[in-house]
Amino acid sequence: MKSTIYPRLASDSMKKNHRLYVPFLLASSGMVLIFYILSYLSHSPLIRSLRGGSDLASIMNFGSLVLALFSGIFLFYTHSFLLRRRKTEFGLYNILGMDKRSLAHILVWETLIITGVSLLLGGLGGILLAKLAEASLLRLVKSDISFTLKVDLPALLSSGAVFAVIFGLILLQSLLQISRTNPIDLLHSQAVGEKPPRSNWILAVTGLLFLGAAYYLALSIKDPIAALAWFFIAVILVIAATYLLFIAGSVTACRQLQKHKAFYYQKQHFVALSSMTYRMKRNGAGLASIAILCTMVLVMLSSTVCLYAGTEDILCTRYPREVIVSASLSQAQSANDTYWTDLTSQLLTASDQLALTPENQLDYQYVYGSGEISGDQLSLKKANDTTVPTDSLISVIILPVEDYNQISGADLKLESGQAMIYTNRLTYTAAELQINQAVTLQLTQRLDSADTLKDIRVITEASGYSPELVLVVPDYASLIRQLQQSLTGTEPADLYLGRIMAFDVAGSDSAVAEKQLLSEWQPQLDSLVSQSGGRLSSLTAEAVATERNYYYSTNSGMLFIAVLLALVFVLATVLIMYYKQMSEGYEDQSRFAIMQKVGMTPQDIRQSINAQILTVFLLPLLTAGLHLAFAFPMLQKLLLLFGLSNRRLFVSVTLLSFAVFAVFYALIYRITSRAYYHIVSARPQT
Amino acid sequence: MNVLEVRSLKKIYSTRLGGNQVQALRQVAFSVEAGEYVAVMGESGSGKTTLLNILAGLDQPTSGQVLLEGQDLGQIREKDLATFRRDHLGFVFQDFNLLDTFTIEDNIYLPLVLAGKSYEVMHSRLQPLAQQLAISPILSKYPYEVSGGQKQRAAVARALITGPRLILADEPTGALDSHATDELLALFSQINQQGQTILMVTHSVKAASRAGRVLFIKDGVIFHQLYRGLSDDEQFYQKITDSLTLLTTGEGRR
Repeated sequence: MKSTIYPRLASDSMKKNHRLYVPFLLASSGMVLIFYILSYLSHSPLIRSLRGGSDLASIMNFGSLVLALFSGIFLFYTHSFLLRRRKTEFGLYNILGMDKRSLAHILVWETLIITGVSLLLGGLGGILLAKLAEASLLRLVKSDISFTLKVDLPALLSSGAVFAVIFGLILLQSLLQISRTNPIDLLHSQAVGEKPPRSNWILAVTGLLFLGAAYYLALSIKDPIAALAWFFIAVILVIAATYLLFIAGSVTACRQLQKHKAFYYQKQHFVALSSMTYRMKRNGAGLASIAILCTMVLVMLSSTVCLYAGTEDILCTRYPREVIVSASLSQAQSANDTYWTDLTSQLLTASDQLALTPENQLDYQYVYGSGEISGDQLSLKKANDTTVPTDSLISVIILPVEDYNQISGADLKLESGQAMIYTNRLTYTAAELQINQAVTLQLTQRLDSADTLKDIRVITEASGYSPELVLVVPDYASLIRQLQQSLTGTEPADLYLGRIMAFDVAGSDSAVAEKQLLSEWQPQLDSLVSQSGGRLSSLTAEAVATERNYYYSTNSGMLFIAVLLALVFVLATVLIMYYKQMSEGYEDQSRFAIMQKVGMTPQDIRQSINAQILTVFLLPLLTAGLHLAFAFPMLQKLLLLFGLSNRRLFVSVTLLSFAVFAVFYALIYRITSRAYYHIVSARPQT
Repeated sequence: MNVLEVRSLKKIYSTRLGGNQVQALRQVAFSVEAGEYVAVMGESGSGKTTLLNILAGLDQPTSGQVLLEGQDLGQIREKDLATFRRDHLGFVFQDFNLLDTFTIEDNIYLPLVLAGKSYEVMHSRLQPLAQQLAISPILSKYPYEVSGGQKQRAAVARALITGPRLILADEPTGALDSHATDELLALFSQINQQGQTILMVTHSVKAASRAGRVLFIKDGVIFHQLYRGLSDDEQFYQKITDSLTLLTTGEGRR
């Protein structure tokens, strides 16, 4: 008998409070579901079999970690709201003679029920949807799909374990709270006289300063990788500022307005302003969380959608032709040197055997190095790590004029000692350029800056991230020799002498043939290097077809994670909003009943409610929009690192994500504010 | 002239499924003249609160009429009712009904703000009232910071500031200690002497004994009424007690 009473009490009270518990259960089930899917995908053999699949799997793994952390924090936060509502009930039980041990029993059972339901619903849903998720991920990766529904036991176990720990911690916290309070406190915990919110100038101004500093950082950081620490500081400052401004700043602003008597004592401001003050004090933290979650969703969605949509763009920048053979040379080759043409024609016989027709052929050599510019002096330097761009170093690329004319179709004529200059993300206006104090070039021609490196269709080692300086010169081989000589003796610099032969393959569906060609070439390449007598130091061949899979698997993996995390964040936003509306509804109910007695017309009440609700609705959305706007330059730079330089695409994707999100947010708000109206309009009988 | 006239008021509540019908008010008729101080007495469930809600226009009678200043409450449209209530009636409640989000001062201003008065007007109206009710020092405090008696005096100020024709008081002493009760009753007598019409619903004999007339309500009818006449507070108290004894023991006899 005694053993069944606790589970019954627990389940009864949950049923009675279904308005509170159902959303909580749905949210926690949703989180279990998404966690299961992520951990399922992270060791799905199908995913691992893809090219770049292990990267994809580790992205999923990372995503599940983030999710676990977030779920923990979020469920903790919302459960404390539930507990606050339940305290009266516990106080009553306590007075009716139930000791704290028994209350603890009820709480334990309640947690067991919550955990059970969440794991059951989330697990079942996860099993059903995991295959769908896998299929859509594979589709994003542009791979073939095969369907089999199966249960992944390790994923199920890890979801169970993670959420059991989270709910265990929540239980622990509830038990602690119950044990600390006495019955009378429990009984009246909902009706504590609340101190009027006071303006806190210090916090409000600190919030403003933080926000200003964060925005300044966001706009001024030129290089988010080199200044990674600053980047994180900016993110943390934004979060702190959002909380400070929502909690303290809003109250201070309301208070200031209240001091303005002619403004305050007006019918439409009087009630709205005074209750806003309290509302912001109580819900400032919740609203700030909503604003931050919204920002996160927007940032994640816009950047990953953009990255995914821009994958072809990135591929096109990095691989202007479908098949690329690149060599690293030890000496610059003069224009009449036939070594390279012999070598490439030898390679192209293989393509003849495969019945491939090369077209749009490119063939050029170039020098790539990094250096620093001061005045009209360019000094070539050794870059510590070519993959990580640093603040001051720029990429220097030198092309022979004949090759430039060949690839661009231009007819550029340069005298000895002259050069054409093209710069990207860098301005250089002097008429001369001296390199390492050894070579002086007259910059007689300039390429319009509207063109990009991509338009010249030059493939180099340039990261596509640091500023680029391209020089087109005559007498290429002798100039490079001069440069190399100037470097010996002084500090070493890396001059990478490259040679590229690239072509498209005729026919639209040539991916298979390209891969075949690569595997045909592979054994030849090494022997060609060893036979070159030191002329070549390396020779590699790439095909876009194989790279495409790789790019798609990482970019789509990120998109996929972003969508799932966005789902979770939106879920969290919905729940926070719902609880906020509920709690405000209960608080405002009696207040509006009084106002009606004192002579406020129902229209006045509705107007006042609408004004407040609209403000509370718009604030987080506008804040998120503002944050996004200021984060935009930084995000753009980050995307550059991934090789995406299409600004138009990013702007439109961001605006579109914001618009879609705003519509979705409005929908959520409409639904949750119904709960509020429902509570407020129920007139309590006194 | 009668400030308030109630004609054969009837109120029937039906339970939600329409099965049981409860007659809260069967046949209530009385009138209140200008400057009168009337107490309505009755036990819990006698229909006091129903009556007060109908008088305030918060509830509709099943049949009968309520005339305030000759104006039939039933004829006033729903959306104008709140305005009418605000301009002609003042309320004092048992549980004060002060808004915890406002200071005492702002609570008192509330009806005037809703009526669209300027701050200067409200401020000049409040000064004499605050003086009389001795609440000047607590004006800037919040309701939870002051005592029950002070809260009730603030509520009285809120009721008086619009200059209403009639004050409706619902168990105004119900939540007060004896000291605060005495103070409040003295205050009511004082404002009544200044010409304010008051209708007070109560089941405290002490409170009723300060009124000029007491109506006894039982099972939804006005059962009996007593005029103070020339008796002082204590004699009147005795008369009320006697009537109450008769009312509760002698079933149905008048």
